[in-house]
Amino acid sequence: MPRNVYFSQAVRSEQHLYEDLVIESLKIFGQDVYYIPRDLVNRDSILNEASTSTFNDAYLMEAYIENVDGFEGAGDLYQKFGLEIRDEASFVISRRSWNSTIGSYENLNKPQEGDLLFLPMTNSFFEITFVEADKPFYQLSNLPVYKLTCSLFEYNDEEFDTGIDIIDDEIGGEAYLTGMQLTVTGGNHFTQGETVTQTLVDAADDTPAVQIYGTVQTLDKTSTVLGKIGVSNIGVTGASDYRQFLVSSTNGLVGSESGNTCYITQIYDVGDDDADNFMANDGAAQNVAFETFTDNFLDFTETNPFGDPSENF
Amino acid sequence: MFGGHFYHATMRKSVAVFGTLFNNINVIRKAADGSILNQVKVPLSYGPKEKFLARLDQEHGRNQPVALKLPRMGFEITSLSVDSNQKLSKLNKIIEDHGSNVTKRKAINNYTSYDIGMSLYIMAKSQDDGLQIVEQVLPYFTPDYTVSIKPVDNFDFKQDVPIVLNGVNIQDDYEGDFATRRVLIYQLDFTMKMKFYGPTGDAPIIREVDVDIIDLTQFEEDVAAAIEGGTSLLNSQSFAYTIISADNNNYTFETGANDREGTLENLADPTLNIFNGDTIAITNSLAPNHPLQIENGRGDVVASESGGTLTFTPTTNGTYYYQCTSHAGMRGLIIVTDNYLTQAIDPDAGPIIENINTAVGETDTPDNFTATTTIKDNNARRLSALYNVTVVTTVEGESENQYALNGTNAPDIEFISGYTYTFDQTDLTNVYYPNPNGSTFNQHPILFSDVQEDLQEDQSPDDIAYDEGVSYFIDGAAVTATAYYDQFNTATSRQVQIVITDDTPDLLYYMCINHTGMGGAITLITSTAADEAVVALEQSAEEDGGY
Repeated sequence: MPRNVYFSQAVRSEQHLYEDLVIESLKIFGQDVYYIPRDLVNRDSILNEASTSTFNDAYLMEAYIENVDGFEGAGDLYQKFGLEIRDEASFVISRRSWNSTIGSYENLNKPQEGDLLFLPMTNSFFEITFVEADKPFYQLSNLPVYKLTCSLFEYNDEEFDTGIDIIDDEIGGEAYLTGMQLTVTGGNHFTQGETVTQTLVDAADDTPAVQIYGTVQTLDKTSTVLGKIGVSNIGVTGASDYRQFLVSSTNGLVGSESGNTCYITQIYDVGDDDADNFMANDGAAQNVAFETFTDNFLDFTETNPFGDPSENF
Repeated sequence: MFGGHFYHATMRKSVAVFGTLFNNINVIRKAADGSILNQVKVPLSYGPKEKFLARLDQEHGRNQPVALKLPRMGFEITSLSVDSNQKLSKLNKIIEDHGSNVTKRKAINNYTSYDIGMSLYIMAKSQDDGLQIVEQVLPYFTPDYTVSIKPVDNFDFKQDVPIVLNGVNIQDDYEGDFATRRVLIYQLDFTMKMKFYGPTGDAPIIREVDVDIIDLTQFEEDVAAAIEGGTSLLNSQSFAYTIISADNNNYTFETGANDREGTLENLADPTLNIFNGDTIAITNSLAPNHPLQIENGRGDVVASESGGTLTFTPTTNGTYYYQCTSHAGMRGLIIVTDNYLTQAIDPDAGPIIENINTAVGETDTPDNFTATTTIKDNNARRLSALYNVTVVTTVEGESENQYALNGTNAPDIEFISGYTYTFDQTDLTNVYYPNPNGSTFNQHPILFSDVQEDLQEDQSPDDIAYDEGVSYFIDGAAVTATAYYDQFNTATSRQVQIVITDDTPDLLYYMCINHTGMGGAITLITSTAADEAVVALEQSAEEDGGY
């Protein structure tokens, strides 16, 4: 037997009123968050994972944090990989706000697992692990909110170019950096955040140029002729194998925005006994410490005939 | 009981070595078109850490904005166990030069082998990242990869450290509800074969070695000279030296001085070679200038000049120095060794002194040597003996005569197979005795016979003579037996020689062809018995202070 048709819960005006009240409550009691959608750059169709993602937009919206006594989750843990913070939180956002703010721009129907929320209050990045779309459950025959279950983001050196400084700077402080020293001409330094490119192999008739590029995350203007930068998100075009920046007085490093050209005089590597410049953003990394300490007693006077990793083929 | 302190930081070094293996691994991420979007050098850390330091290192004074940065690697020590497969000799030591100090060597007396279990953990956000890291590790371990280290500071020796990959575990929690994060960890279990070293120390080195080397030729000459010239070389001697000038750098000795090696050739700070027990007397004609003293190898003064003379009789072998107390450069060596002539000689190693027992009846002291001694090398074992034959009266006042061999009246003697014995009848008593020499002949030529009874009047010498290996010499020339008898009284020298072989009868007699009762018996000693006799002789010589 069907329901009574003379009584309807799905009165649009009531639904709107209810949704307005929800949004107002969220705006009053919620927090500003940036919704950062994920761009899937490459998907591994064999191993079924997003091998590369970038985050290129950020949308400010209101969200209510359900947790009242702090974040959920296991909290701050120390384990063999270092300090891990397993904060979890549930964010409630309005469907209408999300659709009007994000969905229409990103051509999405609902928030996606894998997208990020940046919470400026705590400077934390949360990754949406689960989108609860039907709670509370059709109280006025509609669903006014999404409940986003999130955990603190595990950063995998994804590139962030949202245009929101607070976001880009914050994540830039976590990026894997390659430090290098430069000679600068006439004080024409690079600018922070720009992409710098070095041509490794010039283009030929039938092959493109091989170029290596990266984003300037840290910038130290030592003098008008010297500088030190930390470059993150290093990529290569024109080749598909591992390449490195070259120390060169002829192949200059060219800034995409400043247009300045500088020349690399030193690239800090694991053997350079300078933890401040190598893996500068990763205080837990001991790569340099091991290398430096073992220099005192590791013996390389005899080559290893059974497979020397440093051997040149 | 063990005490002291030492620490070679073996485990700490193990951690660093292990970390160094994996500290330069890269991961790259590609776009769909194959171009590289991102290259990451994978951070590595030793897992155990003070927690507050972890907070300091990773947060830089702010809240960490992300949960964790990936990919990354961590490792830890999981076990420490004795490696019974590398059981080492307890007597093994590690010895090394002490750099510029040549008086001692660096040493480690104790070390042992241990297996250190290490686990490397790789955490990645995607399988592709993790597999890139794993694949950059696995091929080098077959299943071991060996590095060389210098495990102990200040020592240069190297130790190979095999690092064995025992297995790989993959933890991938991908199932479950959406709120539970996926954790992807690769665990690689290794065994490092390390050694733990005990305390280091200094070991003394052998700085002085006394080696007695016999120069066979010299030895033969010395022994011959010793026996011919009496016993002076065998006994302790005194050597006198006179210092006639000095120039603040060298003493100059007077010419003509000797040491045990002969006349000194170099007279400026000459080296003096003497035997233990000898005495050197140095006269310093420059006294009171350049007073000298004698020091041993450790610099202790063992004798000093007094009134311009210094005497020194070493009782210990070694190297000594005569030294001017005013000038360091005025210094010479005194090398004191045993008198090798008095040493027992191994019959298998050294030369044999022949006919030691030719002093009949008393065989073992140098004083009894009256015969000429010939030295042969040990391989030949050819010994010869010379008996000086005289004719003497048996009993004082009576007319019976006897041969005297090397002064002993008609002894029974022993011959040894392989030896040659010479009876020298040159002495004129063989021609005249008991008549005075130069008066009436009364000849006593020697005859060897295997018959005990003397030659009878109706016999000729040929009837009883034993002539195998017997030679006769008149004036140094070999002659027949008949010629020997015929020319006996006119010759200047007369010898009969017999070569003893294994075929020689065990019992012979020596006798006069003209008179009865003059000789004695000759017993042949077999070769084995002869060897024993030689050994016994040498032992006897050693006990008596040698020959």
